[in-house]
Amino acid sequence: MAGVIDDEGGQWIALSGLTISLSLVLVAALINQAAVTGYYSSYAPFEFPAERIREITAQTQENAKSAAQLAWALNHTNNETVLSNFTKLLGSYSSQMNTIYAVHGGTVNITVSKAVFNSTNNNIDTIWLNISYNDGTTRYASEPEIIEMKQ
Amino acid sequence: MNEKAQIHTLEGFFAASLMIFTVMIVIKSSLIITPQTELTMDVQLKQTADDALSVLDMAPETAFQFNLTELVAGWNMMEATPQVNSLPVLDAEIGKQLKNVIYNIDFAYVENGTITVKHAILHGIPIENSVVATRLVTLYNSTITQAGGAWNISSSDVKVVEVRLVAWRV
Repeated sequence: MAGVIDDEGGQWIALSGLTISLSLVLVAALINQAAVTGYYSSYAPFEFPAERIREITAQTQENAKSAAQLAWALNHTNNETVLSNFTKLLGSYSSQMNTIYAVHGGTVNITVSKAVFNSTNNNIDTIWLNISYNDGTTRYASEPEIIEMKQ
Repeated sequence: MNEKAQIHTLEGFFAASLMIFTVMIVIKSSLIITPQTELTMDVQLKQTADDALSVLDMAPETAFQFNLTELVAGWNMMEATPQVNSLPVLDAEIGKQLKNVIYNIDFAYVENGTITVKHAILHGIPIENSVVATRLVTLYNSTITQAGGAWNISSSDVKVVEVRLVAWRV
């Protein structure tokens, strides 16, 4: 038995076995953390409303141009000015946008800030709008959003 | 009895046992289903659905006969059923872009101050992992008259319609 106790051979094998075991446990812990991190990073594109904001501004620009043309055409048939017709059209558009976006948890507000008219035919050349969006987490404002009708 | 190398043997046996138990613990504690794979597919499907609506809305006239606004303007206001499709042209265009994907298309618009949602294209009941892509279109009386639709909009008003594409893979 004394010979067994005094024999110091094989200590390196035991130590290397312990080291490898601890390394495997560490690697397993890191792999598990990577899975959880991947879950949150995959969800990141869903959270920021970049597409919604882009859609609001693009749709408003497109609609402003069409509304300006319609407002000018309506001026020839009713007693309202071009700006008055345009403001009514934009007000209806803003109200509907706000209702639609409210379903998705956000508010949208679009108002007319200023209009620059063409001196020759009294059509709208440039319109200044105030666009704002708020969903409780992200707040976006473009004040003013300058839209040129000639483009 | 030969007592040589007994500790050597015991220590080797101990090291092997330790490694076996460690591998067992690692296997039992590791996650088998990785959530990011499933979410990556959802993100990809949502991007594909978004792109399908964007392409139809913004493509030049030479690419499609009718763009998204004209197709929506031409709706007959009849809600779709699984047997009857109320917008076959839109269905065909979306179907070309979304291969091996099942989808429904709904229109959401404001009527008398409240949101109204109607099915325009119905292919099935969406499952839990379905994604929704939305696109807004603005309709005027002139657009509707030209497209032959049944929307009721006065000549001095505008209608904002949200096109909702619900897509999923089986």
